[in-house]
Amino acid sequence: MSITTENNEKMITLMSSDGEEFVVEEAVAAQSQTIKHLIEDGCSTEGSIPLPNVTGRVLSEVIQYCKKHSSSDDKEEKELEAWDAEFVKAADDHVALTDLMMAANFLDIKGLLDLVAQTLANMITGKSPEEVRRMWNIKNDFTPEEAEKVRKENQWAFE
Amino acid sequence: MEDRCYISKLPCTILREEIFSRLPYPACVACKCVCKSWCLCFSKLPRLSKNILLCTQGRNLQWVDFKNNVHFSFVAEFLSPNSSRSIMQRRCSPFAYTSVNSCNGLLSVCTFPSEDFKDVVMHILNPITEEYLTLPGRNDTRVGLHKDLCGLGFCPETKRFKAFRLSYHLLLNERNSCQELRRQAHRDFYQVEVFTLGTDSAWRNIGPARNYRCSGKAVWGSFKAFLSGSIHRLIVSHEGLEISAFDFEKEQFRSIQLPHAFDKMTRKKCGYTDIGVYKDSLCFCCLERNKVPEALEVWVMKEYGVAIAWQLKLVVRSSEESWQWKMQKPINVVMFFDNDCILLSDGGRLVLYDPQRGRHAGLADGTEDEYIHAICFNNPRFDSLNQIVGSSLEIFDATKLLNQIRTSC
Repeated sequence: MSITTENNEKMITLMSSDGEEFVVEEAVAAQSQTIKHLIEDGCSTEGSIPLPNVTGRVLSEVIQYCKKHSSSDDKEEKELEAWDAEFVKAADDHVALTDLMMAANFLDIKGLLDLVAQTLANMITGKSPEEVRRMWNIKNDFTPEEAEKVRKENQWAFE
Repeated sequence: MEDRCYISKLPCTILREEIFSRLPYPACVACKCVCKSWCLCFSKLPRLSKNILLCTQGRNLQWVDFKNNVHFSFVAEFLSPNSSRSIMQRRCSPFAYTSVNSCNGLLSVCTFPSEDFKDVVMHILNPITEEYLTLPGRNDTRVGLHKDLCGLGFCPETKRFKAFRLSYHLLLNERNSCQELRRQAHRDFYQVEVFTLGTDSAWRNIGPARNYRCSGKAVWGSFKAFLSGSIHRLIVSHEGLEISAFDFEKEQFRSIQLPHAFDKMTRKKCGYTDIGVYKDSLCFCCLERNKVPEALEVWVMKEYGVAIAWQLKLVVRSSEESWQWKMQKPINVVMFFDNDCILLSDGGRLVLYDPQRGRHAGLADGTEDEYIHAICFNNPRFDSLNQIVGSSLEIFDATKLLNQIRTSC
């Protein structure tokens, strides 16, 4: 189902895994290489594009990102950077960044993927293994012997 | 919701390629220790940081070309038929260097600070922490012709790094004739100077190198191949070709015989020879001139310093369809991989050779005047140079050194 707005923008509908529908301009959605290919292959004419891997909450964040990035041109790079930083910070409160990352990966939005990956990398940098575990509730599944072995192999880094 | 681990949902490839690849080294090591699945990600991770590659498990390789400051990293695994190779390239500035050697995670690089090539300055770099320091210049400030050969080593007993330089000085004045100079060179020995990192503040002259006359022995190549507390170099004496080793602990030279077939060989007869390190052994590579079919022989000294322990490890033939030797530069084996593949350099190019399949794969091509300098960098260290030298020498940011050189060129 494609709708056309007053200013002749082609609109398409995206459907999240939990059935939420989002109507967006094609140019916005096409930031996702995955969606772009689906449109090119004619998948959008028959109705909304189903995105079985992405929940509505995550998709709304993704669309926010795409909207901003399709409306800005290169001149506003500095401003866009600041916006990105704010966006990631805000998104962190609503959805898990890892979900956003999975979505960016599945939808193939390079800018978003880079943004989230760098944010996660920054969060890791400077932390001890224990701090990283606590940050993301990761279970330490090493036996004491294994832990000792890994530590030995890499002991310079802890000095 | 609190007890869910979101990040564990990310597949290993995304963790590895998108997140871990952006981390600096110490953070990578911390991640390795977080949990088993993360640890596994790292065993498959060749590129850990933007420009440094760990030689983990003997499969991964880092290559630094100091002259062009081109930095390549790649994995030997690409030789397996289905995987694609990943090469990272970074091109910056020219870097006037004379020799580079790698020892226990540090690199030594010699540069000519002035255009007349009068003095050689030795820098010690830790590529992991991106730091470097510069050793003091020579004590001998006499005017004349200097020639220096440098090397970096490590004393296992004292756990100290030591730098050494062989230098000779030809007194130049207006009355010198060429003949006199030649006579002087015949008479004189190289002087040996040693600098212990962390304890010395100036070079210590330990006297002449008795078996290094300034002329009479044609010497080529630089000191490389650090092994068993010594650094090695090929030299040609009147008797023939041999390996000269400098023991950093004893601060003495010794000679090591080559395989019997080569020890009577003169420089002229022996085409392109070089030495290197194979696992924990000294190795010797030789391409004999005028031998048909052309083949590079790689010999390995199974027991260090024992002449009869040399064994022919493999013969690499030049293959017509894929790769032929470039005959201007010595051919050497830069690195041996666990899967028996070897990385060869013939000055102009880097070539991977798979002895089982008899296959070559070119990795990098230099032009005629672009000498590709490839070294095997092992045992990365994460500790700061400060911990090695204390406060005796100033430590700089290595990227700054490169920038300085770039602006001065």
